[in-house]
Formats: sequence, structure tokens, C-alpha cells
Amino acid sequence: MELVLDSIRKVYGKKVALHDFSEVFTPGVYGLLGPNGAGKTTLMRVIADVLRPTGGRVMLNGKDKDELDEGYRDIVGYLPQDLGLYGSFTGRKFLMYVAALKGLRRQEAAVKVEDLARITNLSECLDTHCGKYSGGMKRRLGIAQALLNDPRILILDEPTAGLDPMERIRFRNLISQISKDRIVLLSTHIVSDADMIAKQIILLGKGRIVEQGTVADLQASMQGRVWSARLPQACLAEISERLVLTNVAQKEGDVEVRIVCERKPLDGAVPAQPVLEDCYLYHFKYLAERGEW
Amino acid sequence: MRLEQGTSKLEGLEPELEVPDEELTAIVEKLGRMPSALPDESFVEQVLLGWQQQEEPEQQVQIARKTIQPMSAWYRCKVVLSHLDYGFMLCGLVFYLLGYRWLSDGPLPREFILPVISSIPFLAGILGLMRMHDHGVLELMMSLRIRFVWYMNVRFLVLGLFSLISNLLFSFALAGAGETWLILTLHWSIPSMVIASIAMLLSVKVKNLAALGMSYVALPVISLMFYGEETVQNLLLGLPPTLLACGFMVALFLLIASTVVVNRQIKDGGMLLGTSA
Repeated sequence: MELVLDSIRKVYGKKVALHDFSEVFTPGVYGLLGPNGAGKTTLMRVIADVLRPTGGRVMLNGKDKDELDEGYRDIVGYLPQDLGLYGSFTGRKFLMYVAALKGLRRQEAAVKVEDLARITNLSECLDTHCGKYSGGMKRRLGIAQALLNDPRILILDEPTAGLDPMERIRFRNLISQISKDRIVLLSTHIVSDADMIAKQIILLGKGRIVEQGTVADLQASMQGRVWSARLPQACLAEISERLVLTNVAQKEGDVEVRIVCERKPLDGAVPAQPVLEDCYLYHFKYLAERGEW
Repeated sequence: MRLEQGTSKLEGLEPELEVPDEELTAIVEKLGRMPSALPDESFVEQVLLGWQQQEEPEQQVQIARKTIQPMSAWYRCKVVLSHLDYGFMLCGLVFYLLGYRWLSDGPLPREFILPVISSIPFLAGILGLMRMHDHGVLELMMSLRIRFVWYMNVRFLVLGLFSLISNLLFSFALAGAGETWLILTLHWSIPSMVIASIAMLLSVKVKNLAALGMSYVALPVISLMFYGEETVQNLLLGLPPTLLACGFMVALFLLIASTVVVNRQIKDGGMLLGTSA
């Protein structure tokens, strides 16, 4: 299975949200990272077929999305960023309704709703009104509905927002396991979520791909750009104004800082092992502050 | 002090440990005074990394593969109609009857009561439909297999038919069959279609349900103010049926045109970009 995005462009009035975005997706998890307004949600909406691009094509196995029409949406599972729920619906009623709109027969849907409720840890509250759900429960119900039609393409916009650490682990494990033969596109602000399960990371900024590659590739690209230094507490304010700090930790009266910089930023700074977060901050803070993209 | 033999599972391996009581007390006190180091920020991530390796049992994530089933038009209609907002439709009918009751006691001539209230059932129904915008369900609905534009059109059609039947029955009750009924029908159908067109256009633009509701309340109020004018009443009562029929055609054209615009908005995802105000 191959999902091709060919020069996707989306313009809102005078604002260009996506600049000729091209990418080929094959089964596996893709992590989409970028600051607010980078175009992540627009891109996901285009792939989920809820937003028509101004230009470009989305093709599945060589066929245009518009040509496939219902056949395309039938294999897509989508969790929107701001999914709300009808407060008067129970979780079960909501899932059954979505299942019906996805074309599942009642009996099949009933079984699947039970399965997915168990997987998303919602079995206990399936017959509770959605109005009483916590943020995390709503998110899990959103994940469950996205999986109802056994989607080959799963699009998850901020899926872990509002989930506690245990729920995030469950979610990651679930996505890791179901991604064997599916394309999973995951947008998140929590870098570690993408770091752990994505086979490919796409850094998106101002509607363009800023950088992409495996986590190892991106980390390797940061070699020599991440530094660690121990400073007196008093210097911290001045340093944090001058340099891009990715972490600050208190160490016996001093502070240990992690710095992203192209060259050695301070006397006594030593090279540190890069992580994905460093790469994110390098592009979206260090380079952005210098106007380099 | 000597550790009790046999209390440890590592019996035999544990080295003998002899500490005087005073020294032990001193150590305990010292330990109590030592500041306990807080885990640094990466602690949670490290723990998560460890847990991530634990896999869920395979059967737990087994999602049964389904075959793509064809959906007949009847099935689609059944799905869409099964979740109509009957509560809102009923409310519309109640307001419609209350409006008639209130206006029939007022100074408005009988011919102009229906033109003022005829749009109420449709407006109430569309307000119920647009709850999905306010509740944040819209984007999900747009991604589902049943084409959203089709879904919306079916709902608009049902609401339109509901409104039409309500008004037809009422006009029969008021005027009976014949030419009087036809004139009365032309009188209410024209504003009804114009208001429906405006309501549909607003529905794809205004995200906020309260704001949409207010604008929907304003529409019959504006038509009440319009039909309340004596000059307007005299002008309309003097219109020949052929001119009314022309007005009907224009209103119908307006309704069709707004449906086309709304459909285009829905297809392009324009509803997602509507104003929240």
C-alpha cells in the first residue's frame, strides 16, 4: 500500500497553509511534528478527505482519492484534534452511530464496539453519558471510533493530548502493534510519543517539510550541535536569553544546562548525545530565531 | 547488633554485619537529615521507555478485519434518519403553533400569519442539525464513509419536507382547497424559501450554536416587522397571482442557488473554517 501526496497546496485567503507538500507514505508510523500553525492539521484534514486542497493530488496505490471517493474514506480512520461528543449520547451509542455511518452492520458493530472499548480501557464506562467523560476518556473514545472500520490509513491529530502516562503507554503499544500493515500518521506536540513509535519523523514548519528522516537520522544530523554545561545559578538568566536551552536541571547549587548551538557555546561546555527534542528545538527555535527558514 | 539469621532469602550469601546500636542510630539520623534528590525531568520519560517494551497480549489488539460492504440508498437513509433531532423538530412545531396563536390575536391580517411563522419548523430543525458544529463532531462526520454532503442534503430535505407538510396542512385548515388556498400558499412559500436559503448559508458559516440560534430568531422577527407594515400589506394583497407565481420562481431559484453554494462549501471543507462568533 502506498499513499502519495503530490504537491499538495492549501491556501486560506492570502495565507498559504501548505506549500506543495509531497510525500510517499508506506505502512508504518509517521510522526508529524511542528509548532502551532505549521500546517499539520491542514495536512491531516486533506489526507482525511475533509478539506479539499487548493492544488495537488492525494493518490492511494496510484488512484486518485477523489476517484476512489467512498472507497477511500472506507479505509481511513480519523481522529480530529478537537473532537467533541454529544453529551446526551452514551459512549456505546456514539460508537454505534459512527459505526453505522462507516457502513458497519449492527451486529458486527456491536462486537467491534466491545472489542475497542476493552482495548481503549472504556468497557466500564461505555454506557455512561459522554457528558460525564473526562478529557482522557473522550480522547480514548475518539481513538476507538477511528479504529472502528479497521482502517488501513489511520490519521491521528494530537491523539495523546489529555491522556495520563499509563494511557499514553497503552496507546503507543496499540499503535505500534497495529501499524504493521497500516499507514499511521500521528501529529503530536509530545515529541517522545513520536520518538518511540514512529519509523519516520516529519518536521513541518510554515507549511513546508523542514526536515525528515528516522529518529536515528535526525539525531545523527544533530551531532556536534548539542552541548551540556554546568553553570552557577546566577548566570542562568543571561545564558537563557542568549542561547537556546533544551533542558535545565538543578545540580548541587549549580545548574546543568543543555544547549543547542552550531558551535561550542561556552567555555566548559561538552558535546552531549542529541535526542529528537534537540532536533525539534534546533529547527523551530534556533534556526527560526535566526530567520534561517 | 547482628542481623537475624534466616530472615533473608539470601541466607548463606549475606555477609555478617556488625554495627553497634549507637552507630546505627547515628546513621539513621544522618540519613534522615540528608536531602533526598528529586528525579530530573527525564525520569518519567525513562520509565515510559522501559514500560514501552511491554507488549499488550496480541488478542487484545486484534481488530477483526471486515469486508467492505456495499451500502444501499435505503440503508444510508435509515442511518441518517435514525438520528434526526426530533426534539428540535418538535420544538419547532410548538413554536409554530404558539406563533400562530399569538399572531392570530394581534393586528396582523390572517393572510400574513403564515408568511411570518412558516419558516419556524425548518429553522428549529436546522438548528438541531447544526449542533454537530457546536459540539465538535462535524469534522469527524465529514471523514466518514457516507459522503457528508449527501448526509447534509438528506437532512435538509427531510427538514424541508417537514416544514412544507406543516405549512400545507395549516394552510388547508385555514383556507380549504381552491384559489384562496393557492394564493395563501404562494404568500407563505416565498418568504419561507428565502428564509431557508439564508438559514442554510448561515449554517455553514456560523460555528457557534448560540449565535446561529440568535440569527435564526431574528429571521421571523424581521419578517414580522416587514409584514407588519400596512403599506407592505396593501402592496402584497394587491399583487396578481401571476406576479406571486413569478416571486415563487425567484425564491425557488434562490433556494436552489444557496443549496449549490452550501454544497460547494461542504465539499471544500468550508464549514470547518466558519466563524465562531
